[in-house]
Amino acid sequence: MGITLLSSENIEGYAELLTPDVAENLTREHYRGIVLNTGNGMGAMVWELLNAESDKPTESIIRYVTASDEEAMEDLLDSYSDHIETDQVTRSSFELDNASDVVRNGLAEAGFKCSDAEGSVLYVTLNDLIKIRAFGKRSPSYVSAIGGLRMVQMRQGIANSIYYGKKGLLQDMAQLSRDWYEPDLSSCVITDGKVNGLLLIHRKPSGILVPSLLYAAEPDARKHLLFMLCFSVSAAGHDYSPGTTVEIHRHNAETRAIAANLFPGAKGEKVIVGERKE
Amino acid sequence: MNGFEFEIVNVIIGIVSLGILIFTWIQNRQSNMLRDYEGRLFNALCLLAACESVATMFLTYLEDVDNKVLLAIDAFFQMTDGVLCTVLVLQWLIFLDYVLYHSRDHIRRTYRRAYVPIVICVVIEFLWSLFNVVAPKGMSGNDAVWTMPFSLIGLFIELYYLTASFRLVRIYHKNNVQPAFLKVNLFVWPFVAGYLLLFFTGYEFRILGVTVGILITWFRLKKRGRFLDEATGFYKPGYLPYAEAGQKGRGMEEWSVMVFETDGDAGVLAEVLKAFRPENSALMRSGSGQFLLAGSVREPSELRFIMDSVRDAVAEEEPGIEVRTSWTERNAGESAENYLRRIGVALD
Repeated sequence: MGITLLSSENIEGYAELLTPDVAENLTREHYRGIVLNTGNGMGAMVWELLNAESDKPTESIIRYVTASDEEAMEDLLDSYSDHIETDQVTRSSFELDNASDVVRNGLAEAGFKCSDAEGSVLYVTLNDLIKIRAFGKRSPSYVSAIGGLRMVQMRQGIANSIYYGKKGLLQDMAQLSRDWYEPDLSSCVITDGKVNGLLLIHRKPSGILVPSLLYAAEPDARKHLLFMLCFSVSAAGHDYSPGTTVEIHRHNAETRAIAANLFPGAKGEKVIVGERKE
Repeated sequence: MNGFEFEIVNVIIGIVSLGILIFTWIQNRQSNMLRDYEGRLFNALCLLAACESVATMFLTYLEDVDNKVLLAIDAFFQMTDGVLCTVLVLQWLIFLDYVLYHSRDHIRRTYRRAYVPIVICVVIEFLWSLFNVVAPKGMSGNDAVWTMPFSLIGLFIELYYLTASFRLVRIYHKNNVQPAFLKVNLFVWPFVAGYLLLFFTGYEFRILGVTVGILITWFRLKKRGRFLDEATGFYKPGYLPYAEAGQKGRGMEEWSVMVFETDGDAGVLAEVLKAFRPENSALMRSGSGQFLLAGSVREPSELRFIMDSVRDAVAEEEPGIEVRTSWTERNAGESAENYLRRIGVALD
């Protein structure tokens, strides 16, 4: 079949099939990827496993698919089904933008219920954030960049977030290296010497900024959240061009409400969504 | 009501209140239950209440008095009594806040300007009292016309603080599954009862209500003290079954425990754990070098992360100290007592 399981060791050899933004995720524990590269067809597929370690049913979210033709697509999906069976996945889903007809038809034929929808990701520019008045406030001295934290403080902040039940986009937060986050953009709140709030921002290889975690513990959680946002927006304004793209993932009710408040009327891109019981 | 009766009743109220406060303060000193910053806040609370008790004893009932000195003295104690009550309620709110969150930074940031409205009120009342005392035609010291507006402002400020205390506890319970021990209504209802008695009888039952509230607060915290380890300030293992029983359905029944042990300097490990303790978790001391971190985390990678982080932090503080860590899964439906016994932890 010519399917290769991707890993951090062999990724570079398949750079033309994966974008750098997709490829970097394959260093993460819960990401899986396969690539097909035969004389007859080419394709790649990357998915993320959810709840792989917990008692909840394991799910798979397909993050990226590309295929040169129908046969390649079929091969990829067959291999995907084999892999997720090993991981005991109970449900697969996807939200894909710019999906080709080959991908769309292949997914539908493989049993996925597909439909068009508005994407959950909002793309805004840094300038859009800077223009928000609420983010123009000066943040107090106890809000600072994570770059200045000692390792034990950073870990304590992450432990706090884990126990608080807030992981944002980072279900593998405990395994990610500190380098994953931008040290001068990501911010924290320090209270009584402890990290009581974190805003972690990841910068993709393409330069897109992705706020990945925003949490603050009580008391004063709301105030601290705002101050961290003010700090990070201000820092980004100094270090990045106003046209820098920021990816806002509206992955739960809280983030949807925040996005609706900050960017009223803003819409996500057209995507296809689908799911399948395994 | 006549002047003598008014003074006698207020003196009795003042003495009883002072007695309750002295009893509470001695009990706390002997048990050493509330210590460090928490102890200082509590002592300040008792002191303010004691001052108000004393001020209450000096309140007089003056009718048709032209003596400026007497009027001035009466005005002074009236004002002091009112202001102390307002400051007292603020101090209780600060104490409650600290008991819930144990954050000195938060206390400092939140309440540094809290005294401003009280100070403004005091200055205005002082000037107004001064004016009425030195005015050519003096007014009766108990003429409600010239003290009522300021009493009402003080009452509104106190109600604001009491409302804030309910909000504080509500937010705490929304984000924490552990018991708070303090119950706001056990302070508020005696306080309100005291105010109502003051309103209906004219006697200064307000301070009695406040001191009863302080006494009840102390007894509630004494309940917490049963579960505290004196040496470290951590909980004893018996806290976990108690907390779960009181917080049924809030998720504590799924809590499991990470064990940290060392044969080296247990003080270093304790300090690291104290600095590292995440929100929504509880630290317990179960032996001379054995500590437990209880919480809802169960995923292997996250457990490893916590254990490695503590070990690395201890190594950074004191290289050479070996820390052994372990975690045992809690069975579904297993009681805290059985779970702790199963993992070899003695319940005190």
